[in-house]
This record gives sequence, structure tokens and C-alpha cells, in this order.
Amino acid sequence: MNADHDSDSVQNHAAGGTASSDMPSGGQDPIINYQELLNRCMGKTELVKKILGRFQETMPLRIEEIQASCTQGDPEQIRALGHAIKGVAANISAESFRAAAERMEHAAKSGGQDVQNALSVLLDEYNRCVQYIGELLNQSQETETLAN
Amino acid sequence: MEILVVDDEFVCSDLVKEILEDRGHSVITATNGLEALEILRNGSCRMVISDWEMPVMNGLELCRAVRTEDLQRYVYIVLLTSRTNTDNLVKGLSAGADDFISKPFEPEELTVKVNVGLRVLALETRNLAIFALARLAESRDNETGRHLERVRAYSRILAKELAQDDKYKDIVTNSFIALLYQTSPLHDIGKVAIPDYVLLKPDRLSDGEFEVIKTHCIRGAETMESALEQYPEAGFLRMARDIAKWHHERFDGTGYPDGLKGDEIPLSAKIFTVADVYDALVSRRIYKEPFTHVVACNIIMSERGTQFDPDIVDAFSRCQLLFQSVQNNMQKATPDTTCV
Repeated sequence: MNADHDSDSVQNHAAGGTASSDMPSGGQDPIINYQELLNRCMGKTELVKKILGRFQETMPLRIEEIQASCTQGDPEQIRALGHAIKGVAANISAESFRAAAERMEHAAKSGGQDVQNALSVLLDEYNRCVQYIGELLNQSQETETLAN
Repeated sequence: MEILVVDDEFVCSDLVKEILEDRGHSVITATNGLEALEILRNGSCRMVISDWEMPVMNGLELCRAVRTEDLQRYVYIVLLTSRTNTDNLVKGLSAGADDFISKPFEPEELTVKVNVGLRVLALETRNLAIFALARLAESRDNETGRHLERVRAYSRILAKELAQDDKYKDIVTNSFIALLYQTSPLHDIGKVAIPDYVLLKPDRLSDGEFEVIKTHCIRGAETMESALEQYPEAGFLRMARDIAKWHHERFDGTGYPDGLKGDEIPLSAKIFTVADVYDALVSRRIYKEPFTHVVACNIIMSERGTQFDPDIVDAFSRCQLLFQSVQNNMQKATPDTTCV
């Protein structure tokens, strides 16, 4: 597979949106705005994969940390982690996940049920991202294998 | 350009790193402000792109630390953050950040902001050109050795000491100290207008010749003032003019060229005067052997309130060992010009 501007399944996302059969489904509101992410990665699909791979490596720890902070009721830690997750989500163009993290950041101030509700939404959006990215990277790998 | 990227989120730092490397920069990374500060202390990196919220030391604390530390170079700092409301912009710029990029960022925005930083940093090379010109002017006077390097180092030591004093801490800021360091080498630029038979005379000057050499203050100041007419807001030129014109004034009003006294003499010139006289005292001249550090200190302290501002002499007495240290270090390179 070429490093840049190649036409594997990752690249297909840029052209086809969410309705194409060879990509994970994202509904009306794409889980990740692929075109925006590709632009941020200078059109390099290899870099898209690297960044999404990094997300998969590092985000589980952040999610564990924010869940633990919610259990402990530590508002500053919840806010800080919500803020950190928001930044990462924004950079991979995962808008719903970003919005959920922002909600978490704000909910930290009010505490109680607001935090629990925000956490629940955050986990849902996180799981959607993980599934989407997993399918995307798997498809990309399959395409590479076939090409070789 | 070597750029330091500071972020505890690898997704973000990887993205920034890849974009900057694609644009031909070399990138080093750190995961918090403290780690970044260590890299800046031990290396020569002059541009930082930093996240705001990080563990151990955040981006704002990093900005403050960089501006407070004496890194011997300007470090251009861009904060990469989603905190982009007005309050946070003010907070960030006040802490010492030069620019902001909001998350999520676009490669083109990152690229142009780095290019702005490069243009700003290029201005610092002008300081090197200014120093080279000052050295050229000084080169006719072959007795002074590394005089320019020493006096600017002494001036900075004195200014830093003075900045500890409540009376001066709001005046002698980091930017005042940086300006003093940059402008002090220009103090004798007017000597280019002094004829060889006076400047290079291998003996004591006659009264008439001394009158000629005294004009170097005015001639140097005229050079700066002609530039100031074009750029009246240029703090650099103003301080350079003040030092060039009034570094031979005396606190009691008996100096030259204008006989200014006390606070009529700009603070920069008063600080520089002590630095310059100390260097003259411990340096060899055709008409005298160098004095020891101890003798030079005694002479300066004996002129407290007459030749020199008492506050500055007091500051000198507190930091005179640092003067000696600079003198010793620079003497190693030019063993014949000064005395320990």
C-alpha cells in the first residue's frame, strides 16, 4: 500500500460518506468526519491510521481514569480528563465524542446525577468510536493483504 | 528549525510532529512543562508548541518559567489549546505565550503560525548584527579586549540584582534587562567619529584631546536619535541612545556631556556606568596597570552618591562576586587585558 493518497478502504471513506457498503456505518451523523481528519493528516492515509491507532492505544487509559474519578467524586480530575478527551476527540474529528467530553467537562462542576448521565453518554460515544475505528483499520488491513 | 512539541496526549503530539516534519522542521517532544523546561535548559531549541493543560507543569507555568529563566535566547511559544476565550487569551499572553492555535487545528494554520514565529526569531539575528557593528567600532581601540562582552554581562548582573529591590522591581523587568544587555555594547559607537591621533594616542590625553574624546557621547547619541526620529516608539533605540549619551554622567551632576544629576540620568545609563567603570578599573590601559577586584570594589564604593547612584552601588556590593567571576572567565580568553 502506498503511504499517501492511496485508494484502500480507508481512502474510500473520504469519497463515500457513511452509506458505502465497504465501511463501518455511522448513521446520519458520522462518528468521525473522515474527510476533515484526512485533511488534518495532509491527505496521508498512513497518518490517519497512525493517529487512529494512537487513539486506540491511549484512550482506554483516559476512559478508565475518568470512570475512576467519577467513582471517587473528584470534580477537578473529571473536568481535566473531560478537557483532555475533548482535545483528542476534536483532533480525530469525532464530533459526537468531543461533544460528550465537553458535556463531561461542564458536568464536573455540578456533580451528582449530571456527571453520571454525562459519563454514560461519553462511554456510548467512546464505544461507537472504538467500533468504527476498529472496523476501519481492519478493512484497511484486509485490503492491504488482498493487494499483496 | 528545531521545534519542541509539548503535549501529554500522544494523538495530538503525533499529529503536530508529523505536520511539522512534513514542513521540514525537526521535532522533539515532551509530555509536560517540566520535561520541556529541562530540554530548553540543556539544548538550543527556540520554538515551543505546547498544550495548556498537562500534568506536573502546565503550559501556562511553562511560559512563565521560560520568561523568568535566563535561557540566553528568545524562545517563541505557541499555546495549542481549546481554551480560546478572551480571558484565556489574556492569561496566556500575560504568562509569556506569543501566539495561540485552537484545537482542533488545521495543518495550514499550524504552518503559518510557525512561520510567524520564525520571522520573529529572525529579528534576534539583528541583535547579532548590531553587536558585530559595535565590535567593529570598538576594534579601533585595541586595548579593550573583550570589553563589550564583559560590560554587557556586568550590566545584566547589576540589573538582575536591582530587580530584587522592591523600589525597582516594576521598572527593571525581564524585558528591561534584555534590552540593557542588547543595547549596552553600543555605548561607545560614537568613537568612530574620534580621530586616530586622539583615540589611539599611547599616552595620557591633553585637556584639549580629552575634550575631543568626550564628544563620542554626543556623536553616538546623534546616530541613535536619527533612527529614533523614524521609529520613536523603538525602546531598543531609546535605551541605546540613553546609554551612549549619558554613560559618563555622574550622580552628583559633575559628569558630561550634560551635567545631569540623580534621577535626571536614565536608570539604564546609571547601571551601565558602574559596569563600565568596573571594567576600566580592572583592565590594563597604556597609562595604568589593572587594579585588583578588591581595589576596584573599594573605588566604586567610595564613589557612592558622588559618581554613582547609591542604590546601584549597594546592588553592586551585593553581587560583586559575580562580577569577579565574569572577569575571571573572560580573562582566560584575553589574559593580558585584565587583572584578577
